[in-house]
Amino acid sequence: MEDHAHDNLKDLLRQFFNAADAEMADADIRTGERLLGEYPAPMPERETILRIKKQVAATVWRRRRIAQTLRRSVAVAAVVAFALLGVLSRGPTSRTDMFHAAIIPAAIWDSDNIAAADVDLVYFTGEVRQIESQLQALNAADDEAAGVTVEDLETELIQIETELSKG
Amino acid sequence: MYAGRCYGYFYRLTGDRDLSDELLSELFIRLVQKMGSYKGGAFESWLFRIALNIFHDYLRGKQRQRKLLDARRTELELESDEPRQSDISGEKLDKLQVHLNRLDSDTRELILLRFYSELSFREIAEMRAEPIGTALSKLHRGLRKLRELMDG
Repeated sequence: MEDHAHDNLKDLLRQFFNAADAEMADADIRTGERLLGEYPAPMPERETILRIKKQVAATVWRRRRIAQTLRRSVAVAAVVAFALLGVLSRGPTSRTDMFHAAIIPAAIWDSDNIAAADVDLVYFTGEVRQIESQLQALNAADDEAAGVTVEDLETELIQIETELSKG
Repeated sequence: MYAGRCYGYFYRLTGDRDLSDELLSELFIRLVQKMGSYKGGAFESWLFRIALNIFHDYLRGKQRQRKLLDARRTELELESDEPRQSDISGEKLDKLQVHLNRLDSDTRELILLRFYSELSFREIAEMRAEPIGTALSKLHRGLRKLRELMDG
């Protein structure tokens, strides 16, 4: 393990020592590292590796469950939000009346950590945001036309949630 | 591959197989937990940074528990005087372990990090937050002293 291919040790040493000292340091370091290689440390026992694999599997399983729970919560919150939006869109609304965003916990939408930890969630978040912006655009437009399309979007959202639950 | 190198690293730092088992286990669990924070780049650098943190956490835990670190060092020296049956190369291993334990802990950590991580000096210096010249100088002195101890 003493061959560190990405280091040019001699060149590096010459930046800090004079030529003679660099030569000596290079020789000392290489000899020392060879010495370490002559006394290999024991390898982990098979039982240890198996035990660690089990622990890692359990950790992954727990994390997956948390992610699934989180996804479901987000999906439910989104569906509730859009259902409410649908109701609101049928009445006389203006942009300033829309308070639906507060129903979806901001911490969930805005958390970079959550999104980074779960590709599905990133996909889902993107989809929901897209629908959300479409909804806002529709709400600003003709009420009657928007009422029909909002229902379509709600259906689409439920479909996305169903797809994610399958995965 | 990584398991063997990390285990060797922990073993040479602690001289204790059971403890190395625990630290290796902790390392892999922490890897799973921190996988989202891996931003690409040298995997070894990320892996051994976590390994180093785990070892430091272990040391801090020991220090908190009524300065057991000193007791551990003494215990390691005592253990090293008696060859362990489970060690694959018997007396040779113990000899290296005894002399590694005679180096100061910072130098020992540097030597072992360099040897087991296979990282470049630049990466090691960055990881340890010290100038590269300092790391080189410490490693040089440490390895020379180790060789003298082994020869003596």
